[in-house]
Amino acid sequence: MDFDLATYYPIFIYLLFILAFAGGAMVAAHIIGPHRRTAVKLMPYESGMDPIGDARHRFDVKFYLTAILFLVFDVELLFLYPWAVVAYRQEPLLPAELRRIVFWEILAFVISLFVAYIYAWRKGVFRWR
Amino acid sequence: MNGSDVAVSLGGVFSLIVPEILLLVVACVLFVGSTIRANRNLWGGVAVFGLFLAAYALWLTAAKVPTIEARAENGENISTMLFTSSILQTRLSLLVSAIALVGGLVLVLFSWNEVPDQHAGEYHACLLLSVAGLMVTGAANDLITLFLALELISIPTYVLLYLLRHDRAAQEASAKYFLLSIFSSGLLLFGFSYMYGMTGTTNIAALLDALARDPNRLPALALVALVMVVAGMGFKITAVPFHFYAPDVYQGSAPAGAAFLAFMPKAAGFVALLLVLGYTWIGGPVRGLALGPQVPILFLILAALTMCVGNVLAILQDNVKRMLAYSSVAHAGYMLIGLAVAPDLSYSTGKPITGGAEAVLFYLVAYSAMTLGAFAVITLLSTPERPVETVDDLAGLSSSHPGVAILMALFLFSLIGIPLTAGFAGKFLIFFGALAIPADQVQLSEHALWFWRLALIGAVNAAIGAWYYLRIVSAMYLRTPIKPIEQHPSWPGVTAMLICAAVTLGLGVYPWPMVKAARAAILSERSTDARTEPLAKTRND
Amino acid sequence: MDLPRLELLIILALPLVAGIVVGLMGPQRGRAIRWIAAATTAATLLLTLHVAAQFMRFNTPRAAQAEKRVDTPTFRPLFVPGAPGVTLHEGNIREENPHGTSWNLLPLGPGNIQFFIGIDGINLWLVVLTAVLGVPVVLVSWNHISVRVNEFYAWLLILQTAMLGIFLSFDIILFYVFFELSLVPLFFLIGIWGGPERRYAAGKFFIYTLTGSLITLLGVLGVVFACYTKNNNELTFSIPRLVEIVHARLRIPNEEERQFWANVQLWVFLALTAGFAVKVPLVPFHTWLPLAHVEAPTAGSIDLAGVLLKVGAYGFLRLCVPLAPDVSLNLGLPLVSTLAVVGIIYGALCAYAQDDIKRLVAYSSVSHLGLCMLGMFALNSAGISGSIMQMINHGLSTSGLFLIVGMLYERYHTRKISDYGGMAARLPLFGVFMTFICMSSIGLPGLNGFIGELLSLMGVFEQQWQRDQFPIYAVIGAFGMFLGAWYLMTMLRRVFFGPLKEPPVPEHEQHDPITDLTGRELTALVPLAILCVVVGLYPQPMLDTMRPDVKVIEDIAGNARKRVVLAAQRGPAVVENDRGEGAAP
Repeated sequence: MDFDLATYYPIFIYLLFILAFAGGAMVAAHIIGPHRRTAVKLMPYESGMDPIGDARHRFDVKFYLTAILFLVFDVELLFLYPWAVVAYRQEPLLPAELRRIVFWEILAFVISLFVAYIYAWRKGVFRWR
Repeated sequence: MNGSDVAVSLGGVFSLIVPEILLLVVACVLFVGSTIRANRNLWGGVAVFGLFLAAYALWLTAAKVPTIEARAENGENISTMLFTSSILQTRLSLLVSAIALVGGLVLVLFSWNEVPDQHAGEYHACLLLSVAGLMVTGAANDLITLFLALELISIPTYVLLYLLRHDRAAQEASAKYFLLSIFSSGLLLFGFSYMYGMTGTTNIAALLDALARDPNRLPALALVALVMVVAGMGFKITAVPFHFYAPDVYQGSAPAGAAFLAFMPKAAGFVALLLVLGYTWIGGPVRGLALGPQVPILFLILAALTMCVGNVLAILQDNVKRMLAYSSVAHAGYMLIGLAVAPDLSYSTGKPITGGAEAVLFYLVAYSAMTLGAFAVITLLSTPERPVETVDDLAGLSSSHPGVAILMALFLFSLIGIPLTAGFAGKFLIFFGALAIPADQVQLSEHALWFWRLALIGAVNAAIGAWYYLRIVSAMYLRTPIKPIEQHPSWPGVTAMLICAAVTLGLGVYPWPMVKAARAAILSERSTDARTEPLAKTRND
Repeated sequence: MDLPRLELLIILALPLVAGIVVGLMGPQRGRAIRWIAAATTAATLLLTLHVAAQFMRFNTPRAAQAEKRVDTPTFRPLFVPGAPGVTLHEGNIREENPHGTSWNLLPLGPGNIQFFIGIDGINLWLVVLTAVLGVPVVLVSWNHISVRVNEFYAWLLILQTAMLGIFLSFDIILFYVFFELSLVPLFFLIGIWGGPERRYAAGKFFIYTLTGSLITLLGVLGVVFACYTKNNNELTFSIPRLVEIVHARLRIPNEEERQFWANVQLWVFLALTAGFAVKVPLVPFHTWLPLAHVEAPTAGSIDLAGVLLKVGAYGFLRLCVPLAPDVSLNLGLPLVSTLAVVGIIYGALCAYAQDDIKRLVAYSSVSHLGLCMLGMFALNSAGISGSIMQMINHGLSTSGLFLIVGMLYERYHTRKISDYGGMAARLPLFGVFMTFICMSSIGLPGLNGFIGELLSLMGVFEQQWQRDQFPIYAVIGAFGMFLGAWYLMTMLRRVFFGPLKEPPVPEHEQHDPITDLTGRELTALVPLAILCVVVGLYPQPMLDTMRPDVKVIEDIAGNARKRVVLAAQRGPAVVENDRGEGAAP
């Protein structure tokens, strides 16, 4: 397949927008926002952690659970994208015979995620205690 | 390959794994159900039901779908199926599935009362997932499927080990097992990636076929792949020097967990080795040497080391579980003898002799029955207040529990290898294979001499092994109890023990049906002639 | 199936079945258990005697067949279940397929392990001996064993089956299976009901014998595969057929083949010897024996000394010599004879030094079995038949000794010679029987011991091979007989004669007065004594029965002798071939 840069222009424009928005927001916050310079506020930002101290740090297990759940439900949903893109195009990439099988397969995948979701819910993972 | 072929093979795959899917469904039910009710009898019952359901489905599948060997014997062209399908119904896969289901049943039964009520559902669910994993392992015909199947066994294991017991030792054991198992999976994947790199396919049959086309000009990478794959599997089968986690993990986990570890990963590891290194008949030309002529030498060294280290270190142990851990290392060594000799056996005989890979399968079943049985006895007799840890804890068992003692003696004598037990039949077949180079073929096999020495090492090791098993027998029968055992065995545990005893005794008294099944799984009459040619050619140049 | 074959199967199965039944009965029903055991052993004995009688009908035709035989010498068992079989047809033997049976146990590619049992002249009398000793073994344990009665008799009966199986097997793997199976019951018998050192004794016995027998297994497999070639693609486990193949292959005048077989024989001989030498026991491997004998309960000692020691000697006779004839002659003859001679003298001296009567009898076994091995490795007809007779006689007289010692121990709870004195006055019947059995063991002419010792020594004197040194062995052997008289008579004098010195009766049994032999004990002893006299006075039927099969071994050894002489004439010019080592299993 020959490479055509023109197909990527929308992405480049999108990229510019992102950079402009992020930079703009920071600049705007700097100019408009109130300034109270305390020691805490001047510390480097590390997601709410104390940046100076022992590298070995204990986290509440709740964070792990959330992280794992995030992986399960967010990352695994990525599997759905290729299927969604490919399965129902006008000019089919998937052979007709495969469509049904793959549909059921995806369904089984979603159901198994759902089972995991119910399990996690019943186990009280979502209760922030 | 056009679309409809893929569709057919995909559809075929799904029809083949119905039993596994059923197991997964039941496992899901158990997972969700365990959050609603905590009752070990209920969930144990559901798990047993699931296993029987899967067994029934397996029966139906086996009756409906012909195995690939049967297709070949009927004259069908099997090459498309062989080289594209990621799952195959072979005689091996049926045998492994049966082993997995029976082993799973035994494990469910004897951990029935071991697992606390609130974890029963999850525990049994994990167990069913592993059983499904072992079943897929036997049927896998693709490196990726195989890897997934092995992970399907490993990942529930981490959970399962922890669910049974929560003390420090158990935590250490499961963490240790987790880390090393991940490491071994890494090694395995590394080896698989080389195999893929050399051939450009992940289909095992196609891959072996490509490698075997010219065994003399194997890329040097084949050796790396071989070493990595064997190392990765070595962890699962506890071959020395990859055994070091076993004693700690076995000792730390509850007896039921140790039993699980002694059975499941080992069975999966050996079956996977048989598949990946091409010991089974799938229809290509050369098999066992597909990854290079170093295969017998590698296994020879591994076998000798594993036997000796396992047995010698087992003598030093006082803790029964630790002793059984080293014993399981030692038995892996005996099985490795079979893997070492199998490639030479297949060409040296016209009408194939039993031994080698069949012996490994047979021994695997025998070993599983006797080791699971021994662990079942320990599980049954342990209570939280009075765990059976050291040999002394079993002293005088014959007077307090004569029935249990005689069964334990049966398992131990089987582990020693006394006739009329499965252990003897297994060892006999292994040694038989190691010596089975016909007199007029000796000069053709450069390994024959080494195999004889290996058999001698094996025999000496069997005698060393007798020493520590006999210590337990002596404690049970010839001593008075130090602290009497009051535990009354529960019926699920007794059932598990009786199943193990029946298999141990049955295979010992009349081994033929199992030998026949193992033989059918490894070779068919057609395959042997095909296997002879390329090697004979190699010898001539 | 005709009667003797069926009887053979029953003989083998009956004790096993009874053992399992008895084991399941529970320890409370001691009386019923004892009677079942006694009835089983008695029935086995009767059946065995009937089989023996049937077998002796074949004596004349078998002798005739052995005379006119031209083919390779090999064993020809009769009464093989599952084989088309041998029938007596107008005084001649008519047989089909003498080397196997149709009862397959385990097909292994080109060959099958078979359930191949039968009777020939070599094993017949050993089977009878085993059955005979089964009865006193049960009787002597009648009151002696009071704990875990069911287990005791179960193991005893299972041991009976294992021992009978060893002698009856003609399939080499079946032989091995029974051979190893006999360890388990004896381990429990010694370990549970034995003396103070029983645990150590049982463990040592088990490990020693198992180690030897595992190496024997390799030897067994080695010979099977040496006889298996890709060309003929025949894998056989039948001992007669293996003997035949070995001899066919040894006759091939090809140099390479000769080298190969020289190596095979060497390793097979060494491997088989490893197991059997422990069992016999030959001298450096005997250390388990005194311990096991002394610690075992009387019944265990009798089975051990009476039958299981013969298993080793029988193994040499049945497997070692026929399957590795050249090496048996070259290496085995000097090696085993030397060890045997050392054993004779060493065993006798050790026996003399003992203060424990049972230990004395145990060491006397080492000495007597040495003579048996010496006779066997004379490898001629007289020596081999003497050796078999010696096995039988040692079984009878040593069992008698163990019986009496056991009965004495039951009364006084001591076996120390120094505790006793002049007991013949106190217990006259004891004195009579002890003197009688000692005479038989010493080899007094007219009693059984004499026949075996005489024939063995005759064999050694007649030995045509290495004539220059053989008389030395014979002289030492004869000296051993003299030593036997010395230590047994000394023991007899100190225990039964001289001034009366009765050991104190143990306190808890003082209400029971010490009595002379009871009726039950006499039932155990008298048949043994009668057999001692019968065998001593009229051994001819036994010798007649074993002659054709002894001749087989003699022929095998004779052929080997010719080959070895031929090789010696050719001189040591045979080039050492570097494949040499590689050809050995």
